[in-house]
Amino acid sequence: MTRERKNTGDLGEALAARYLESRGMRILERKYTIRGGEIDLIAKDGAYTVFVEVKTRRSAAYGTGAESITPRKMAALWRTAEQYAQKHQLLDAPMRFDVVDIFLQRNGNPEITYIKNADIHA
Amino acid sequence: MLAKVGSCGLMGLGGFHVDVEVDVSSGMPCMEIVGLADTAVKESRERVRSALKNAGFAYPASRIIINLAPADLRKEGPIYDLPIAVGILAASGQVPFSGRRDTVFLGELSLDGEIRGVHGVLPMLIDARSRGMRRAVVPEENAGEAAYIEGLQILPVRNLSELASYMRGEKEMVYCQPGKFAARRESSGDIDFKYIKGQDAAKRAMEIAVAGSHNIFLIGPPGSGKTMLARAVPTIMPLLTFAEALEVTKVHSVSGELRGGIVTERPFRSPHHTASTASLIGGGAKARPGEVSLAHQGVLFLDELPEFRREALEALRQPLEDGFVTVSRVNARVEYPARFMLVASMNPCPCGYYGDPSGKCRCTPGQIRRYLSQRISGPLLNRVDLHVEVARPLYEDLISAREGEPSSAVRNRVEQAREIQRERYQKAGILVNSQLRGGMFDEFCKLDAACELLLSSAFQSLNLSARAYRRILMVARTIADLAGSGEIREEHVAEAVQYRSLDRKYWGGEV
Amino acid sequence: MSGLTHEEKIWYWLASTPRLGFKHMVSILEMQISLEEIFADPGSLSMLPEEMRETLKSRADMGRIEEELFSLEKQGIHAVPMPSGEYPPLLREIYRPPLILYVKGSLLRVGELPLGMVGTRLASREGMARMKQIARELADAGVTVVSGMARGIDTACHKGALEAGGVTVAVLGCGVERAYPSENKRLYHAIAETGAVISEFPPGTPPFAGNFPVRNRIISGMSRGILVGEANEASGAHNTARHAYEENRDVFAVPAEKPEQTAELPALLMENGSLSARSAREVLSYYGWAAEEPLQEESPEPGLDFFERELYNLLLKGDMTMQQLADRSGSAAAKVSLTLTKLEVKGLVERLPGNRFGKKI
Repeated sequence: MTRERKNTGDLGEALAARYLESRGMRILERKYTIRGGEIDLIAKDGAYTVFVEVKTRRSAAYGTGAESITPRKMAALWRTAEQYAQKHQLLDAPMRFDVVDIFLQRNGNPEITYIKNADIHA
Repeated sequence: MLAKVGSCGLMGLGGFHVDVEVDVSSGMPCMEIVGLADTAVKESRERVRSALKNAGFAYPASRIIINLAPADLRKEGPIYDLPIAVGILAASGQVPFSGRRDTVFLGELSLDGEIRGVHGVLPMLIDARSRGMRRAVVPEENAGEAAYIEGLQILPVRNLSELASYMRGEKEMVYCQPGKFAARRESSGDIDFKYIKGQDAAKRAMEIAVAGSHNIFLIGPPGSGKTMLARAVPTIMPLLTFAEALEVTKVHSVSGELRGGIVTERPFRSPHHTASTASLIGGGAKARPGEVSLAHQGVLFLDELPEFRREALEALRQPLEDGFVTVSRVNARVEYPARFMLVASMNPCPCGYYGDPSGKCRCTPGQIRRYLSQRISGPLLNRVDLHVEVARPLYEDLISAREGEPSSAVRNRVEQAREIQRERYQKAGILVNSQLRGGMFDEFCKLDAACELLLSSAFQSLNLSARAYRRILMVARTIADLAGSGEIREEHVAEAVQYRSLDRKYWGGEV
Repeated sequence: MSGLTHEEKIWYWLASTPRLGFKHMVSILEMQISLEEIFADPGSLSMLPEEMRETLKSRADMGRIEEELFSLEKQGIHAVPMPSGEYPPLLREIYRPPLILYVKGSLLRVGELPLGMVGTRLASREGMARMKQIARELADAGVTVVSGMARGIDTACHKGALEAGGVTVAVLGCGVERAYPSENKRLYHAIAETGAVISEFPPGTPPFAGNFPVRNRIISGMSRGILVGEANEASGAHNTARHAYEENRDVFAVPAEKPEQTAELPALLMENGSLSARSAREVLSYYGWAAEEPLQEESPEPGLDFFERELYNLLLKGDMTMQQLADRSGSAAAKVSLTLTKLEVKGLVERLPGNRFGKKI
């Protein structure tokens, strides 16, 4: 990954984390990585454990990031989340996937689109 | 939480009960559908999810498992969208659900929450009723056909929101009025007999054909009006009874051909000669009913019969003989009814003009003989009782002011003849003369000495083939019925003899 | 053993050689040596091409010849070489007579006055009816009717002759082992039984188009004259007429009575001075034969009911469709249908293609 993109990514994740916290969620993990995949943020929202995918972009061209989750990526997210859930004995607890899309505009504030309970499936 | 929603499945023209069990629990969020569901059902996932969200309901972030029971019967089609959505709403506590075991839900969901019509509603609900169901929640589109089932309350719904209002008690449930069946007399797009100029012989033959439900061949050059005559047939057929209408509607419902409610007029099907065997007889991956079943209780018109594929014509034998077709499926065999009147048209020879006064025909006798004998097999010929040659109308026929009888007059006679047949065959288990078989001939088609003599003379001097004998008897019986005569008399036999053109040896024969 | 003499068998051996024709035969006979000597040494026939001599040598065995003739007889065919008493005398006189004829039946049945009758394959019903009637009357008077067994006029003439119990000869453009055209199978057998089916082409020869003009010379060649019915100018009948002229035989044109009949050829012939004949009687009197009383036109059975008679009378005027009969009699189609059946069964009316009906001819 280029430094620029990495920076953008990091910036996006930081913004997303702050956003979620502002909504009353507690961040449990950042960049949770296993061999099969990575989850950007894992948070707690009430009883729910939430797996968050963060999409950061600088251009409007490609639409909201939620659409750009490929089936492969989705499968990777799922596997990683499942592994986390197993590890922390959460398999019978409420869980969900959210997506935070951050559009970093040249001038002005970043535009954040928050998709609660996104359709991520195996 | 678990919710159990009643629904139905379809197998051929029969239905079976399906329980849509929805379990919403914590755990990795997903929605799985199990229970031998086909691809369309699996796609319910996407539709239900979008529909719930877009209709303003919450899509639970939970583990949702949906089981379509019984798990050993194949589930097909998008009809489970609605019961699945109801189950999810109920199990996630968004809508109160009484769990009444006498109600079934059917319907496809649009992505915006609208409820769309599905196929096969009538047969499925007839079966549901017979198993004790009392209520059915169906798409508004399908309410028309469902309303004819006695003892089943039909609640038509347009979208999820409306359904939710009903279930929450916010809106009072308005059930459908029971349907009142009235067979349609006038058909759009049909030709009334009175508009067909000349062609008296052909019209008479049609009357006989319909009266006894005999299959008929129309033979003639291009432009002789064969198609017009065929299209006029439905106008003289007896009106559909309610029982017949239900049968027809079932088939049309399963194949998705219904427009609105119950069918009120006899079907008229005319597939093109390039039609595949499967589309004609039925089958294909989903074991859909074919044209022969869609023509059940009506007319199947095969224009330019020799142009149809040999294989397809061969496959007609079963329905013509038995009145139904058997279609194979992956794990079952499905039967569809196929009792229809066959009207087939053809040219008399390869160029089409044999016998035309213009003298245009240049086909050799060998070509003529081969043309028809090669295309039309013996067994098919054996199932067609009337052959009538249709000549191109002469100028003087067309300009004559004489208007013919209207179809309604002919229909009256036909209905009377049918009534006579119904009475006569009460104990014999058949309905019309064309169904006569074997020993029944001796019982119902007795000929006196004069008739026997005439028939045997006719056979000798007119060179008729042996297969014509029974056909002539059947047709004579119908002619006698139309004349209101209990016995078959000489004139009935004499007329019947004229309808065996293809059996005559002159066809491509010697001077 | 076949009924041929030794010499006739040698003739057969020569004549059945492919491509050996009349001219070859003439030069062979001019050699002034006996047939026996030729049979013993076919190599001596220096005027023949090498190939032909080889073929002759290979078959120069009487046993073999007899076997060939025997196998023909098993098919009911016998060979009639020119020297034979069965060979038609008139035929010997033409320009290039066939060296040999293959026969089913017998040419000995041919009477004193053989007459050819020809016409088109696509004849009108009236045209055929007329020629059939003429053939019937001629045969009844003892004339032998010669024709080609083709569809149309030929067939009508053969049938007319057979109906009168007379002798008729069919000359084919293919081998006599089979009926051509095939729908005339029954006719073919009937002719062979009381007359003869003949051909100069060896059994097994297909009906090549080119064979027909050639066989036409036999029709006129074995007859004293020919009658030409409906035909076009460019037709086999014209070809036959030409042969007749060339061989000085009589040509009678049978003129058309109605405009729909194809009258080109008879008209053309008459313009060029040929004789004309409207009936069998005229032809017979030309040859000085007293004609029998002309056969009575069959009168309708007395036992017709009112409606049957009405329809029959309508049909006497000409063929009609069922629709026309219904309109003109003012009756329903059902009634017309059943009445037509009764008339058909009585043999007065016949059904034609296109739902038409006509008086039975």
